[in-house]
Amino acid sequence: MSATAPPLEVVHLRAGYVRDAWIVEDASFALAAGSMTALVGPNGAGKSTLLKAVLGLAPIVRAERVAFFGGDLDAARARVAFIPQRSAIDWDFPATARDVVAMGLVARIGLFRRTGRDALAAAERALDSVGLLGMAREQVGELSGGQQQRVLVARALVAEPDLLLLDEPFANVDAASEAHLASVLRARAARGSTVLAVHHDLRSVRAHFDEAILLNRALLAHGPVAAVLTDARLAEAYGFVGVTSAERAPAARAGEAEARA
Amino acid sequence: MTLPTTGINTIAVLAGCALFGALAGAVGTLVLARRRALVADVAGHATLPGVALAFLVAEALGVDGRTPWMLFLGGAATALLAAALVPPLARLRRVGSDGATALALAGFFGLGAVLLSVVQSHPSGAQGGLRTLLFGNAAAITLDEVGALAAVALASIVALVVLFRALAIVAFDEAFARTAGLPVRALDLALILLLVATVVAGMQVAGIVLVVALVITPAAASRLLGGTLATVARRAALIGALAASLGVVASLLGERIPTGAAMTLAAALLFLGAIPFSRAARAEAA
Repeated sequence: MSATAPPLEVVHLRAGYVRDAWIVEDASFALAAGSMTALVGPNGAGKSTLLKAVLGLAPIVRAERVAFFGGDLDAARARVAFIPQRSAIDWDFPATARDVVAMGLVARIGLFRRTGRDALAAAERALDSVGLLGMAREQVGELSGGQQQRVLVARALVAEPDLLLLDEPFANVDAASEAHLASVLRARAARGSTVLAVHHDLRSVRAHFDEAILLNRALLAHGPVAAVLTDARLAEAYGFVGVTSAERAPAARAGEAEARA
Repeated sequence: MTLPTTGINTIAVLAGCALFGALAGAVGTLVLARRRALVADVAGHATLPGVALAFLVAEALGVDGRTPWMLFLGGAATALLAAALVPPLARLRRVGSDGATALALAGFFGLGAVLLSVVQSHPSGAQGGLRTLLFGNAAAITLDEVGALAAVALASIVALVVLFRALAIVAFDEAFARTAGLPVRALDLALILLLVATVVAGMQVAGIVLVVALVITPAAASRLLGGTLATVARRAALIGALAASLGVVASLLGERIPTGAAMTLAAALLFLGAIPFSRAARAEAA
């Protein structure tokens, strides 16, 4: 593992849920340390699948290389945090916000030990960093969608990760939570952490991210947001021209519906 | 009245049943959180063929067919096999997980019923009283069996306490647990093993048909009352112990009431009693 190895490097990755029906057909990219990258593309483009595939969560993955900080994921787990889609979680689960955030310390505390005072204090600091200290003892089911999303980010931050992988962190989140989350992620990046987030809303990519990866089954472009989200490239990926028509993005093409298992 | 012969026996039976109820409530909390309630039903019913086979094997070997550990191991083996068969069955075209669950449950229970009739026709099987395993009979349990039940229940409770945190993390968010490096498959297997241990521990008192009620109902009642998962599990253990004790007392006092049925009714009544106190009900009233 070299000091200059990128936080995440992917070479010729294919991924899917059924044999020989690839959702992601070809993706190669490397993230620079401290960068904030949006993973964008139309519905069914394979954004979530790509994110899950690099983490080994997609059922079928073939890749020449998936490297975290120059090594495999097992060697880097303590430095990598995954924040799944909020909708993937049953929020009726009986737990307080602080309980959920403390789960993020499992690697540090160990599997068979109880959550101690130190862990709870760390969980409260992480909740404070996302503006939810006052909600620490609330049941997660009673929080708003945006607050639940912030709890999930706090659960990742409590372990002080160097690479954050987020699946639609801004989906169905109120404006206050979106602004808060964006500034928290920005602050992490300023301290050297790398952020990669599946992102749906083309209008806010520039506001929240420096770089973008444009995906439509295959990786179409990767670079600074302005260079990636050009009219020509968006037309290629979405089949329309201009960011303003984002709302009219065509529904997923037949047979391309993105599995969100 | 079919009370056990001495007061000490009655107390031992009550204590054993309460221990089983506590284990069932605590395990049930995690089973519900992980959405494995139907696996509990499969595991319960699928103990029957294993228990009957264990009886026949033991008799063939010249051992008493009702040796508790033989019956436990036999029941656990077929319960695990049935639980393990559900996922591959569900992957078959047009079966789905609900269909696979029903298939495994009915298939193993049917096989068990056939084997049970073989046991009944066996010279020592008729007195062996394996038929009480269907709905449970605390009055017919021996002290040896209570001891075996208590040993399994205590060991399971210790294992549950040790694994609780990891099981809770997996139940809340499997994808996160996997990326954090938790051994999710091993933890899921551990939960199934705890479930099977609960089922075999309770089969003689609660019966294999209704043992699932003691796993699920106290946990569901406890969840109605809110709190964190640890609180819910502790409260479910109390509710389970209470329901099991009430069931034993009712079945010992009332003639011919199957213990499992009495326990199930007690748990259901406690569940109904919890509804007015549920957080949702309070929120609606406010």
